[in-house]
Amino acid sequence: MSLKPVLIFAYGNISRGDDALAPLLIEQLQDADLETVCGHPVKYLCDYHIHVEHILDLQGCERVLLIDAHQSLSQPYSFELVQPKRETSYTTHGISPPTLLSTYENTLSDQAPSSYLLAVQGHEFNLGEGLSSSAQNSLNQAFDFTLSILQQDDFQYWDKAV
Amino acid sequence: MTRIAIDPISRVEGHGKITLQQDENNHITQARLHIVEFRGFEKFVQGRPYQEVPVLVQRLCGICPVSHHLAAAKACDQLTGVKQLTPTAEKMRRLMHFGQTLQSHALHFFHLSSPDLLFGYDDEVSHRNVIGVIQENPELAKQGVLLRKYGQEIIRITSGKRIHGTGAIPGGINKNLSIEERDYLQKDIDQMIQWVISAVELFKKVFYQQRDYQESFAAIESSMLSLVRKDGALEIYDGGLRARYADGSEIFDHYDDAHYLDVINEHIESWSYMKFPFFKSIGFEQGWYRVGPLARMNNCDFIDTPLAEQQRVEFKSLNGGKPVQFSLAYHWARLIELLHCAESIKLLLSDSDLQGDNLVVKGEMQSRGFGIIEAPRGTLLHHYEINEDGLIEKANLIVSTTHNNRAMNESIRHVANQYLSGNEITEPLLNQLEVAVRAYDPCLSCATHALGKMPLQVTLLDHQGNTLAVREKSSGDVS
Repeated sequence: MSLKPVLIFAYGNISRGDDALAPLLIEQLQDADLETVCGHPVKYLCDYHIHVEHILDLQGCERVLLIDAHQSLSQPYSFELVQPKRETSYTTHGISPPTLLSTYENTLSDQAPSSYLLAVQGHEFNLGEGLSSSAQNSLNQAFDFTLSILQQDDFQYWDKAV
Repeated sequence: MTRIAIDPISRVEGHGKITLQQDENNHITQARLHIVEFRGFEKFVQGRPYQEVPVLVQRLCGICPVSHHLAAAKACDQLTGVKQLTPTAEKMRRLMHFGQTLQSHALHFFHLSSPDLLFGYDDEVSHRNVIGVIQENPELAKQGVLLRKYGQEIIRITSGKRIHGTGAIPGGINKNLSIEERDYLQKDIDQMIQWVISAVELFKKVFYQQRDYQESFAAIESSMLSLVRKDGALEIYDGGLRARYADGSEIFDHYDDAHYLDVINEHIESWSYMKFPFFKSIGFEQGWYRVGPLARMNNCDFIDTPLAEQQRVEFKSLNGGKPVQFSLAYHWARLIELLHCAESIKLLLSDSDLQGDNLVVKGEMQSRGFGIIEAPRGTLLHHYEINEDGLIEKANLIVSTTHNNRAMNESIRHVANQYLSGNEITEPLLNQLEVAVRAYDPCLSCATHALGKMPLQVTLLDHQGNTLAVREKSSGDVS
């Protein structure tokens, strides 16, 4: 029987300054050419936002790693387990990680795969701007951290890192 | 005068802000919806080779990147002196555009506006959002997800990628539709059409139950602008510009895109980064107009797919054949277009031109190129000028939310006058303001999506700009 894949899902806009953090990080991870994560095959996904139809990408996955830029973070990156949660918001075309999982469970009538959010500290989000120098530093640290947990042979290291 | 500021409307699409200005009698004299404009766009593309533009501009907006992709590709067709694409190229682009419009309109109905419809416009926001719909109507929500997915699959297949697609190139397209891809898309299209028909019927049921409310809410009258086909049919990919007064009489018709500056001017205000387009022949004060599904439905003479045409006829009968003006009619018009897209996709998929091999044509280079399409939210205009080396020297964009800028302000003003009592900004008022804005489905744009922004902040200022009250709405988690 084939093993369920691990999904690495980064979202952000590469042309809006530090909003590029997640797309750049997933590029580096793809370049690292990991054949497996904890013995499971790896799937990569990159988009601008999280949309409702992304629940279909989560379907059948063993674990999910979500990556996003964060504007209000006080350290270079944070890593946390995401819990399904119904969040209210005003008019919006995208949804948050907790709402993605909640949408998954309510729409597909199934438990969502264990999902983690890696948030990377960003500062400037203007069109046409490159990555800020402090965001570059955050990116480097976040990459080292991510690679270290992806190269472990057991998912328990993910939970320990939270 | 008292000013009430609401900022921002949305976290994901960027910062929106509403400012309401009262007179001494608490009457709203002015409403302003502030939207982050494409700041820095000209700098963003300046000096880049024109061939890159159709891919580059998709990064402007994470909500409708395909619309920018196709508008830029059409402008590049003109830059390369191409007046007519091959049948395969044009139909592939049309298929891509129908897929984009289908997924955008599906998201709007099934996950943004249906909470208003199903739970009522006064319902608390925690119930009206997407999750409320899912919990109360899991089947409807699932249909919305699958319709979205279907549209995204069309985009992926026609553009070659899920995002940052490269399908449309100057003078054509870089791939056709294989038989396998056609069969893959064909197997679900009848189901998609059935779901859309059900959605249209659901909307009409709600509309007729509360017709008075629907027709009076945020009700304004305006001129309308859209593309139409040569024979007057509804057209979202390519056609001439048609503008009509509020009573339906003609302002101009079948106007060529290359001469848009002869009929549309752009006004600038000090308080906003947005431009304020208006019809030159009418002038700035009275020359504002609306674009999008409502304008397209009012401006076209017919729809060339039978089920959508049947719905259009019923829609137009609401006002005796004259333009339907009430703001919530945007929802109905959007659903008719959704049906038109689904029907058109079915027709296109059985067209063997999509399997053709003649993908690109070439012509003599030109210095200026214009591309106008009907994006899901309305008329989208791209204008580029290049130098002898093919590098972009000048760019101008007018996006649909910009066209609708003043119309949205008027709708907001109408709602605020209807629901604001004294200086208290109540939850129901916020809901009603949002319902008015959402009818237009504005793209608050900029595609920035960082965590950690406040979703809603309300500030009450006096006539000297002093803050009287601040009300913030956090994400308000509900387990």
